[in-house]
Amino acid sequence: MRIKTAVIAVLLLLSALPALAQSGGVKGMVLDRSASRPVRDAKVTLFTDREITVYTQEDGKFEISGLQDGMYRLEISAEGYLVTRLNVRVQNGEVYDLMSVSVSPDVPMADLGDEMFADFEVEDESGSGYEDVPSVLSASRDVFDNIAAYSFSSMRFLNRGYESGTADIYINGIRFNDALSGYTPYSLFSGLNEATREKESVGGLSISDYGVGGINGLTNVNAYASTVAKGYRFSVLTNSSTYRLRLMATYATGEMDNGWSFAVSASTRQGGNDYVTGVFYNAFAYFLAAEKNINDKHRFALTLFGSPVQRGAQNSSTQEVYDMLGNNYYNSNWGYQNGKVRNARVRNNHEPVLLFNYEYTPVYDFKVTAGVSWRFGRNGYSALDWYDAPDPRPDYYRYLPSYFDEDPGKYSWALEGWMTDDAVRHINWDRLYDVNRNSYFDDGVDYNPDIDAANTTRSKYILEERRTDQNDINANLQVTKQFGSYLKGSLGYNFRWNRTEYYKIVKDLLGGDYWLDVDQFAERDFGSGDSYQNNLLNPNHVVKEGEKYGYDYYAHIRNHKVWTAWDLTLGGFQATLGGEVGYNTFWREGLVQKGLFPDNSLGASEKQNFLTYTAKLGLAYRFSGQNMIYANVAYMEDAPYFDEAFLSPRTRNSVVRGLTTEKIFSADINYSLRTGNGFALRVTGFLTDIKDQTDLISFYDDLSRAYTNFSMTGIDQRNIGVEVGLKVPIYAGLAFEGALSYGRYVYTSDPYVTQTVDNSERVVLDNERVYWNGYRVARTPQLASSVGLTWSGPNYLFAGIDLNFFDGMYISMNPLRRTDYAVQGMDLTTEEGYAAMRYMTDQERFPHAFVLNANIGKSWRFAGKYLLGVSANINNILNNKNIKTGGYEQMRLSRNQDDSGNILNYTPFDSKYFYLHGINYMINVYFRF
Amino acid sequence: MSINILKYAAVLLASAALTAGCQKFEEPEPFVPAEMEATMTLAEFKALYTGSPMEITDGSIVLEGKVISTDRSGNVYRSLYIEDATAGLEVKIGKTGLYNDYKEGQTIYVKPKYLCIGAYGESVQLGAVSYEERYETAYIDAQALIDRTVFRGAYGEPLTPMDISSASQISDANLCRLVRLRNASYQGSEDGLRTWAVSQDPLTGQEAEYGQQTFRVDGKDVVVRTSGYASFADDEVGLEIGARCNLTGILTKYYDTFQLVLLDLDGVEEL
Repeated sequence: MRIKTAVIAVLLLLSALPALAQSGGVKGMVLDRSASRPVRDAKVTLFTDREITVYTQEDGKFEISGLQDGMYRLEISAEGYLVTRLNVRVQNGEVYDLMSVSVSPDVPMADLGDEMFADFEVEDESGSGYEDVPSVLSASRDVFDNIAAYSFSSMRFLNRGYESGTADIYINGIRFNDALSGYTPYSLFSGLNEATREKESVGGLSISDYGVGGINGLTNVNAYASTVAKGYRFSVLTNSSTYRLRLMATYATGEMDNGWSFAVSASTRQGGNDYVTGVFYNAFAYFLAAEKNINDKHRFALTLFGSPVQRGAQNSSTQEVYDMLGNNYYNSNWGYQNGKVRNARVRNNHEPVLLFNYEYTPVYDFKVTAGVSWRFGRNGYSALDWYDAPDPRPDYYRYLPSYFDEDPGKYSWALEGWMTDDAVRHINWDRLYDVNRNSYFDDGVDYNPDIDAANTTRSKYILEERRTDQNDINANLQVTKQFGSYLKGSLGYNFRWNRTEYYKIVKDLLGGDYWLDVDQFAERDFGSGDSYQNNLLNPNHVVKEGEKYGYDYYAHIRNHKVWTAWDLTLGGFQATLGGEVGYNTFWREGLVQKGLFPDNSLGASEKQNFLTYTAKLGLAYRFSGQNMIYANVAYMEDAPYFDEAFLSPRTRNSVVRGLTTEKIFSADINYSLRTGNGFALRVTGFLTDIKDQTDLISFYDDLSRAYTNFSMTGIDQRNIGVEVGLKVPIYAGLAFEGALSYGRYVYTSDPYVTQTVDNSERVVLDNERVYWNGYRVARTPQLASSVGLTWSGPNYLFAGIDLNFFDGMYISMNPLRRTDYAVQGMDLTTEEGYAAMRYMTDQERFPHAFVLNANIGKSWRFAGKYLLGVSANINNILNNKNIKTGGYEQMRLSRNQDDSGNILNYTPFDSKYFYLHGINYMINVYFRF
Repeated sequence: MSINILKYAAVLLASAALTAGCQKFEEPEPFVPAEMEATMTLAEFKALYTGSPMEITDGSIVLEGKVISTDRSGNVYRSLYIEDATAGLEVKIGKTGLYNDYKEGQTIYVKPKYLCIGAYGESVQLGAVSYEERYETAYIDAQALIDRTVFRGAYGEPLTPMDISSASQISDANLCRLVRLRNASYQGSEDGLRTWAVSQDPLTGQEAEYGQQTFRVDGKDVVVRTSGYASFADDEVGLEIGARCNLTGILTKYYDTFQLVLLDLDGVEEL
């Protein structure tokens, strides 16, 4: 009884709170973010059931009063600045002091460029591979993220050491991370910088307005017609590190009197760069959006965008090759054909995205949003394929001088070939055509009586195109309600339907007439019967250009997710609570019947079902407006991705043994301070434990003479570290900026690896233990730091310079090298044996590196409405071309035998590396009205 | 105004869609066969070998022969056999899949400077200079060395094998030539093997063991030696002891034993 009374009392008190205050308000000062100078005449609009608009004074100050308690949306716009939106909370009838609101000059500073999209070949041939993507998508308001985005990306810095796929990317409120691998989907909207400029992001463990999120932040791209900056925008960009030319044109109406908004944008990117031969862009992009606002209550939006891209890829090589040619940017993917550079590895993608969004806001504190998206189209990546003929790749290890180490004569011949002959050091296209044109074999008749063997040639070398064509449909529904000024709640539901077809086609027969669709490894090993048929339903298929061959299967994915997030504010205290429950189902459906696995290749695999969940809690205490301490904690279980779940997805339905959810615990504590004069500081400490990760690596294993798959389970890691971002205004537009990310990202378990062969049930390694505990997680500098000066002068002139230091970069490891299998035969009691063991098992750490960058820009306004601007960046001014940004150990080992064929021991192959480009520039000229 | 812009955008878009996917390359010109004048017959060249390996330093020597071998079935491995009117010669081009580049019947020119003439089991070979004492020659496997010494000439009809029906023809003079042993009688194998070779020993798991099947021609034994990597390694010989056949292949020898290397099973013609 007493409890009941107390509850009623509290409820009464709470409901009475708004009544106490009728004269609340909000005030603040609008500051130029770069210069920390007041911005006058900025338009400040507050949305309630009506709009209240005021303009800032000369000192940048504004005030809106007469407000009831509650949550309000505030929009600040000023000529030459990006629109800033924020939510403010008025409570207890007080005038809430925002202190300072900084707005960003609307000039493309270092436009986050496509150099971050440069992708490198790795040996891993599984669907996932990896494509390099920027770790920090956009400069946000956060002082650390802002610096890291621009200064750390070129070193392939990963936020807190997390894989890029851990960052959630939403477009118009719909999550777009790849359904098969989780990867962030930047390539979908590459080239649409203007149209997708408007983003909202939260970092780390924070809960966003759009979803509970994961451990690495959530960014929502607002790709609505109404959010694209109003007017015409044109830009011309050239740079020496990615592509020669980018042209971009954008037009948006803004919201017109009739409630409609329209926006269009198109761009092209063309050419190669100064450093790597064979890479090129032939890329376009388009964006079309329409939106209708009815009485500020209903908003309908339709958006279509896509990025048709052809892009030549770069391959990594061993240091031997780089040293031989005196060039750390050697690319083995190309060769001359009739004097023109031809790249064998070309990405050819066009995956349009169609979005429909609806927003219903009957009253200002209640909102319902619904969205549907469809991603479709093609995703292709070409490569050489060959049948019973020598490896056509120039840097195949048997073609390198080191292969002839013990024979000085051959060594010097091999070296001479590399030093003098383009047909040796690059792909010899002429030879491939020549072989194919003269490849008359009557064996075709044995396979297929329809072949006119005397007059048709069977291609031995072709260009294949591996396709990963998605049909990805997402639907979501979200309800958000503000309860007075102290509580906000959201409830959402997402559904994902994905069917992706993995297959390959013959892209180019390279002078021959047909390709015969049989499995050459199976043919060699089993020789007869149906076993070497890639498809028993269409045996001995004579394949022409554009036709499918090899493998063909669907990935099916169905995800349901329900989430809720709550945000409670009482005085300076704020608590956020988020939870999500999901149900993931996926399965493989073979579309061909493989000769080796007639009973396990065609049709649907068993469905894999996983229950997933996330729980998050955030607590914050605000000492004053922008001076706060906050902490977050999260625990989540995530389903494994399709790309890691099957032992040999190209051939059969077998699932990785012991497939289980990934368990993640993460916590961070942060202190953040911003003052009115532009001072900004954030300090964060974080700790994350990830357990039970799986990985699948597919590659050709020389020792097994077959395509094999490494499936690893039970990978645990711990990421612990600190982040500091600091900005200190010095004098008259000059400011100091600094950022530090110092972490220790290590493996904390000894996982198990199973190696299976693609073309047999044979298990090469069965649940072999990988001694990884204590080794470092690769692919990112574990120490990244930056100090710099920025200056924002009068008349829209700005400049900056920053010096960055990176350390703690490690090589990506071949798990095989840390197994008992790899060190067998080594006598550890001898110095020699011990050294061999260390050589096999030690993890290479790359040298630390300094990188100096600078930028400058200026814009001019004329005739009242025109803006012409130019900005330039110079990166890696120290022109250090020996900075390793990544690398990996080759998967194969070499077996050493004595004269009678007994295995003595194994030695690893040389690792392969990527290097940071030397000094390079980017110049951007833009024109707007 | 906005309508115009939309129009421009549509045009740009359409042209983008049309031009994307245009990355065309002209096909390379057809291969131009080498033409050279031989300065020495293969028999004369082989006679240069006098019992110890010799690096060829004379840059003027040009040899010419037609390709008689193919490694397509995997029985010939990292070697190319050529033949002219006087003799056959094994050129140890140490690559696999040679049949893709060197066709049976194709003319080949060899400039043996930088190479080495030597012998293995008393059979003369042309190879690279060997740095291993136990071998007189090494494989010619660095591409730059192949490019400077072996030249691909015109394509031609495959040679007709030389018929051998008397014991006296099974001699050093006919080594490394394409021959047809006429009326050979099957003698079986010493170890009772019934297949041409063994691709994988079912007991030891050992890969690819050579098989030796003996045939007798005019009273002289020739061993058909087959690699365990040959595609027909596990095929049954399928002959009764004493059964007669014609055998086509390349005549080689290992010290006193004359051997025949089948190019494929078409070379076995049961009588």
